[in-house]
Amino acid sequence: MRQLKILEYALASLLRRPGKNAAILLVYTLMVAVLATVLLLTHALKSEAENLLADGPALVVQRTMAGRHELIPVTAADTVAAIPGVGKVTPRVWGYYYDGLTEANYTLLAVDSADPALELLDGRLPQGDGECAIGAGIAAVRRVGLNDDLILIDAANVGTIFTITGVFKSASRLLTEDLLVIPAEPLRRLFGMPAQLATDLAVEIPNPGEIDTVARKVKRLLPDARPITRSELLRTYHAVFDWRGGMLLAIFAASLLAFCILAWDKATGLSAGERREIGILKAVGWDTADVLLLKVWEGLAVSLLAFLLGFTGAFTLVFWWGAPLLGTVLRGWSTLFPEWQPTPHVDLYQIITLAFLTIVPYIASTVIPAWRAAVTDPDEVMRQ
Amino acid sequence: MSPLIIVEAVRKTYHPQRPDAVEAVAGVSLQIAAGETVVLRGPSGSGKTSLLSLIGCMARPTSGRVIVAGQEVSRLPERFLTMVRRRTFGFVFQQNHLIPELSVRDNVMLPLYPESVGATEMVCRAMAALDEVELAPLAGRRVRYLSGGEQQRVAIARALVNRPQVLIADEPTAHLDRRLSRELLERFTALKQTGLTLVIATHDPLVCDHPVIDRIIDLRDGRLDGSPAP
Amino acid sequence: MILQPGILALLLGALVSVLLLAGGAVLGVRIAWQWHPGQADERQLLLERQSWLAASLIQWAVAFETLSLPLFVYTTEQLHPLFVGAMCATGTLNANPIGWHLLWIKLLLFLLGGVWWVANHCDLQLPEAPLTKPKFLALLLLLPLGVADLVVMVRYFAGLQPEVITSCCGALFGATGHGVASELAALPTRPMIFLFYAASAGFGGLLLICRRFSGWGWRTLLALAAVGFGVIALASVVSFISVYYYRLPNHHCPFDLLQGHYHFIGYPLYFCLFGALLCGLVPQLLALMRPLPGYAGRLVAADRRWLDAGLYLLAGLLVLVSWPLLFGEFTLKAYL
Repeated sequence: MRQLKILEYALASLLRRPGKNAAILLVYTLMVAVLATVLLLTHALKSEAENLLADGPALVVQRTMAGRHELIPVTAADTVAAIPGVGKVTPRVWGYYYDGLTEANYTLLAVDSADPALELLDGRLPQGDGECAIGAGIAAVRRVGLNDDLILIDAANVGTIFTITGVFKSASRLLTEDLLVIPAEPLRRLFGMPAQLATDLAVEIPNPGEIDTVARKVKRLLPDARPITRSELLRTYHAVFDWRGGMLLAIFAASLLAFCILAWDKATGLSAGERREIGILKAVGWDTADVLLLKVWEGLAVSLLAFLLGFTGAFTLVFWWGAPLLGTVLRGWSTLFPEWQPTPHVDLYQIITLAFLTIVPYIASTVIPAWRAAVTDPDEVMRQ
Repeated sequence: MSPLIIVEAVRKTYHPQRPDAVEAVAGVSLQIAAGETVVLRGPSGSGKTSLLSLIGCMARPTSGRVIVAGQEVSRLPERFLTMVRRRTFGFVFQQNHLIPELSVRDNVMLPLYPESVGATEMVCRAMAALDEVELAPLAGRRVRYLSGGEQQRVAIARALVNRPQVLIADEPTAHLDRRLSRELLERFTALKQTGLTLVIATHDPLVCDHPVIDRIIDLRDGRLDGSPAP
Repeated sequence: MILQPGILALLLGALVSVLLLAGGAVLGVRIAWQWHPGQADERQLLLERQSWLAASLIQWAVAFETLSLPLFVYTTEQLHPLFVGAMCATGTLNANPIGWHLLWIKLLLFLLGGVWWVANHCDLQLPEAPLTKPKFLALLLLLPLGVADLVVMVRYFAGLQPEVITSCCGALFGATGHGVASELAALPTRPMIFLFYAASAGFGGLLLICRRFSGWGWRTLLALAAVGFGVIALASVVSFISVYYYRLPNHHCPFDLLQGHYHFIGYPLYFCLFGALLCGLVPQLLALMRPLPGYAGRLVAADRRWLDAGLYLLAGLLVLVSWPLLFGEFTLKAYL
């Protein structure tokens, strides 16, 4: 009961001094908002990576030479398909194309290697020579659309004209923004890739528990191959986004320290009115514990309000506006950047982590100032 | 019946380790009975306020004993000293020491926060105390908008809200005119009739000569000299 | 080091806790050295005031350490996808074995910190604060533990290497493995169930007896029973409680209970378990304080409250353990 009454007094006390508390509340809220943005965005990116990879192949087999990626013989697909537990093995033909006109990199993919689940805006997938389907990003940057022509320069420096038969839907932009799909033969001619080679092999393994075993067997049967499992890719994305997020948080350590100094300064700098008020409280019967509790409640009230406002602001910034500034740092850079709407998600772990990063340092900064205020001598009040 | 307040050879030295150490009370012994109205009289610097602090458990003596309602309080830790002070004594300070941004009622309720009293009960007791000083109609008004006399009545209500046994007043007429001073003394008379013990520090002859006073204790340089009321 | 937000939060929390503990300990030991409650001079008054600061610093440090325990467990849970072979927090802890030491340090900090908090709270209820010296001298034990927590935490997280393949709960808590964890998993189920309920009945019975009788001997027995019950309950989690929640006879991991697809049931389960353990220890502490002046009337109610809390938490634990046994679709009858 005493706790609640003193909480009520603390809240009323905060409202009586809006000016003093507004400054610290503003800075506190900004701190929380920035840190929360990093946490929410990191989590959203990791979730998106998980969702995207869920539909990808369980295992991708690449060939390496001198530590670099090399084209893999198509016959290796038979070797892999013979491993027990392996479903379908698809040699994939794909690669990157640098467009000097727009200074953008496109991903070129053979139509039979493409995921049939990709949705078109309108049109159809290319079927013959001289046809292609493009992503919305390429359409925008090259200012082309359905039935327009697109010229690509092949390995012999000769221009080839492709007619756009389809443009991918915006819902798949994260996958197709920079994608250009053409049939396998024209793609091989464009890259100068021999018919007996492929970029890599996509391996389907029905039983997820077998993936690591199959990967080990692939490595044994094809010593120069590099099997990459879905879980490895996921781990890599997790590590990258965690690292970027953690890096940003570590950079913010300096501003966190500055915030703690500000909190200490504000808490220590009692005005004459506040000092007098505490003296009066002590004189009318509040003891040190009561005033300490008052200060604790004031600190917690400011913390919780800043936390709520900051977190809500960060949530809006990330899931409504896509975090325009920090998002670039976390997602990386590209000329053709897909528009991406992160899926709103909040969990208790993020909230507790954020609380540790913000509320803990603030409370710690205000313990000593709160005590100094609480040990005001009531006898002094009688003498004034 | 044993006295309510017993003070035995108390001394109070402020800042004893420093060159500017001051012995404000230099060996005072006195007793105050329950229901008695006592004045501590003396010029500025005679130790009246310091002795009031010691009697009212606002400070601990450097040496000597203070016994209140049979309990020795001179060696109590601060927390328990505060609890005894809150439950036994009501203070009316020289400057009133009200919080101007709070309402009359909120000021009166301040001593009740540390007590195990519910919010509704707090309001009831505050209003009852305001009734005693005839200020209930102004309960919701901010203290900063009250006159000097009204503010002092709020201070008295605050001092009474915990139903203390002793009311301590330090120079209560210092900022009042004669009319208000007489009104205050009438109020003290009414409180005395309820059995309240009053200890008043003052050098105002109007107070010292009033019939409500049972005894005057003179102080000089931290020492005392008792004399009966005229 | 893996720069994951949860890790940074834990390191920051541990650093802040150590700073608070250090400040409180330095001040507290000085206060304990100069404390003379019989005196009323200025120095004693200053010490009294400083004791509030020391106590505040320690209380906040203990609070942060207590909150960092579930955060640590949750963080190791969140990190497991980064390690090959890890399926839960066990895998993350195995990735750098010093992590297990960290977990025990944190548990110890939680228990000792909780006892200190209670001792401090009770001490402030008594007129002469008779526990001032021992409670502040006890910080000489709490501070090194806090420092150990920070040092081991830094070493643990710095030593985590995602490319190192780790083993997970299947290996650690598998009945065919080696070590204490495997032996716990291999304990026969039926005797373990009986032992758990017998220990619960004994512990609960002692809680009720202590409510009825105020003898300190019963409280000593209660404290011993609490420790024993804690050990048996933890062994039971590995042996059969986890199995009933996972509905897999060979899944004994004590950490998977904390995951979302088991509805985070591990959190209330462990809260009730460790909470009941703490409630069993505190009455012994209060019994030791009985000879202190001013005890009568002030701490009797506190003693009753802790016993009641222990009963509620024990009841909660029994409900959480018994529900899947009695009403779940899974049964271990063929394995009993």
